[in-house]
Formats: sequence, structure tokens, C-alpha cells
Amino acid sequence: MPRISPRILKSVANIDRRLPYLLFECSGNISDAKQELSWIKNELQDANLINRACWLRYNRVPLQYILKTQPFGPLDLLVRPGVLIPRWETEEWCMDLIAKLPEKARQGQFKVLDLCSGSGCIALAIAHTRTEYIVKSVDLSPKAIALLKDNVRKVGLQNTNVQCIQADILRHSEHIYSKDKFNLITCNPPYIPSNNFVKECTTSVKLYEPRLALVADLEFYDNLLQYWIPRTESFVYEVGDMKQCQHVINGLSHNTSWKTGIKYDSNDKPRCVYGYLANPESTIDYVKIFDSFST
Amino acid sequence: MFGITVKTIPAVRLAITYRMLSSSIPQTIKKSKMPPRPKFTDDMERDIEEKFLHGGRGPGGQKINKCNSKVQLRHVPTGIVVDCQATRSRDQNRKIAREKLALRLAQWENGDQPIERELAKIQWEQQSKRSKERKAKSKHREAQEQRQQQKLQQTIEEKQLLKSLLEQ
Repeated sequence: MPRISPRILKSVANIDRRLPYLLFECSGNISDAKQELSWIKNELQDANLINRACWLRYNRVPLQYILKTQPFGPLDLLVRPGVLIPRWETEEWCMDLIAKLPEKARQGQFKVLDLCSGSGCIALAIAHTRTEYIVKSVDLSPKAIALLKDNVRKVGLQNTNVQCIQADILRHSEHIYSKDKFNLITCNPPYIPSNNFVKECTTSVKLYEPRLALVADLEFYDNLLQYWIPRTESFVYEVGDMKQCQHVINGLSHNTSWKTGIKYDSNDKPRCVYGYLANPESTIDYVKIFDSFST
Repeated sequence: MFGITVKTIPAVRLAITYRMLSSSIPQTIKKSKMPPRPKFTDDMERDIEEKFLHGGRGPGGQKINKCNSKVQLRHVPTGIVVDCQATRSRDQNRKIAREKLALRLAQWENGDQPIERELAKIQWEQQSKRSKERKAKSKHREAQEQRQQQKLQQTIEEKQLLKSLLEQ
């Protein structure tokens, strides 16, 4: 936490007496704090609510939990304590991926499975823009599933091919949608190793976001290699670092029918590991999708 | 304003009267009939470089929760750069940044002068300000007249009362 001098606090208080409260979470950046205040003012009308929001921000509550929503691509999703807030990195790769997915799939021909769905951002963004697709999602947390169902309603997809179930994929992968084979599996698993958690996460994340959605190392990538690879034709998994990418790529290196790759985010960090069958059973051209996805 | 020459050269007088007329009765602008906003075309889309800025260094992904997403557009042929982080939504910011760039390009093509729409906007603002003033003035005048009339009536009534009292 940066120390902010009383002189600066006083000078911003002259602009708006609520600004000093926002300054701490913006690490002292005045224009960021002003921006945040204008968002808060836009979305909350009542002066008391605005004051309360600034006080909560001073206590490091994520802005998205205060305003109760987070934009994700074309959607405006609900967020709630107990469920991870969608990150811009996820939005970025997810929207890139959707732009590459074939537009004209015959009804029910393209099946997507979203694991560790959380708020359902990835699943719902796909279902929203590619309405013919069948989208199924899984999460362990009952809170996440409840929120996901609310989000399905909010986005207006309740009458479409979106399903969600609560299940533990690390224990019961073989029983989840056991009759289905998928065209694409997406997943944003927890990927912060527990020894890095305290050191690398910001205070706000540590205090208010669910550890269940954050802390894990290679479990989910092992789970992918063991259970999901035989049941899908392609996958995109978000990663936290290069080690996790390499783990997946090495795990598939002996399997010549799988092609793998890494996607970087706009901060030049490895953000996704993806893989696809070069000669799938279906007629979908994964080479075309993922060739343009990686760049 | 009227120089000595005006008496001798009628053409100049005509020009001045004309100018006076045009300056005292400006062309009215309707809000619904403004010159159009400059459009962001597909050609421009091909010419731009888009960048997303999230405060650079440090950890990313799940480790940090940033709520801002800044979009920066660079129009390569002219080197004009615009950015936008007005909303929390990246989609929205991208749209706004494109509108901004279209406006800047239109200004650039106009030799860094304000474009037609901006001029119209300024005129519209002046016009609405003037009409507001006019309305306020006429309201005051009406109220004043009413007050005077009331006063007049009151004095007449008082006079009549006095008269009737004196006659008794």
C-alpha cells in the first residue's frame, strides 16, 4: 500500500470530499480516482449510497461487488461476493476466440463445455453471440451456480441451449455429461500457486474474492489431460504462468494428433494454452480457428 | 458604424444594411437538423492500430482486479492518437474512441478548424441562451405590467372609496 501524503489528500478533498477514500485503492493516481468516482456517480443516484460506496472502496471492497455488475464483451453480468469477478484478460481472449468460431453451425452441432464457470462469463458470451451452439457449464460452488442462473436470466438466454450443473470436476469428471462429446472446452481454472498467493495478489483480491476460485497449481491441467482430452476436439484453458502452459503442452507432446499453442494477452503475458485435433471426426476446421486465435 | 461615405455610395449602404440584417437575425438551427456527426468508416478501421492499456507491469490475471480498461487508437497515416476510458466496458470504450477519432480526423481534414457540426452546435447553444434570455425578459415585463395594473386599480378603488366617504 503506497503512502499518500496528507497534502495530496487535502488537495483532492477540495475537488470532492469523497475522493480521498478512493485514492488508496487507485494507488494514489488522482485521475483514476476521479474516473472511479464518476462511474460510481453514474450508477448510484442516491448521495448516501455514493458515500457508502466510497467508504467501502476505502476498505478495499472490489468496485464490481459494490456496483453489482461487470461488463464482459457485449454483456453486463451480475457479480456477487463469493464468486470471482471476470477479468479483462479473460474477456480479451474470450472475445477473440468467439470472433474466430464458425458462425454457421447447424442447430446443435457445436457443443461447448465451460468448466469452472464462476459468474458464467465465458459460457454466456459464447451462447449470446453464437445462438445455435449448445453450451454447458460446470462449477463447484453453489454460489457460483446460483449467480450463473441469475445471469442466464439477465442476459435473456433462459429459453436457449444453456445448461449448468454443480459438480466437482477434480473428483467426478467421468460422471459429468458422461454421454457427451464436445467440440470445445473452455476453462478459467484457479491458477495461483498457494506459495505465491500472499506475495502476488493484491489486498482487495485476498480479502474479498473467493480463494476457491483462485488458488490451485497444476490440478486442473492434469484433470484436462486425464479426463477431458479424450472427450473433446479442442480446448482453451486460461493460465497464470508459463510453467502451466508447458505442463499442458508437454502432456500432449507424445500425442501426435493434438496441436497445441499459447496465446498472450495485451500485457504480453502468457494467458491461454489451447489445443485442437488437426483431423477431427467433425467437419469443423480447428486449424483455421486457432491459427488466427493465436495471433 | 455608419461612415461618412455611406451617404455618397449607395452600394456600400446596401451592403451594410444587409450585413446588419444578417447579424441581427441569425439563421435558426434546429437540434433535430444538425449537420451529421463524422462517421467512422471501414477505411479508417483498416488504417488504425488499436491498443489496450491496463497499467503495464506487475502481475495480471486473477491476481489483480482492475476495473478500468483504456483503449488507445492510432491512425497510422496521420499519426493522430485518441484514447478512451470513459466507461467500465471495453466494448463501449472502443466505440467511443472510434467516434472520437472520426471527429479528430474530420477536424484534421478541415485544417484543424472546428467542423460544421461544432460551429452549428456553438450557434445552437448561443441561440438557446438568447431565447432563454428573451423568455425571461418577457416574463419579467409581463409581471411588471400586471403589477402596475394592480397598483392602478388599487388607487382607483381607494379614490372611489374616499369619494364615497367624502360625499356622505
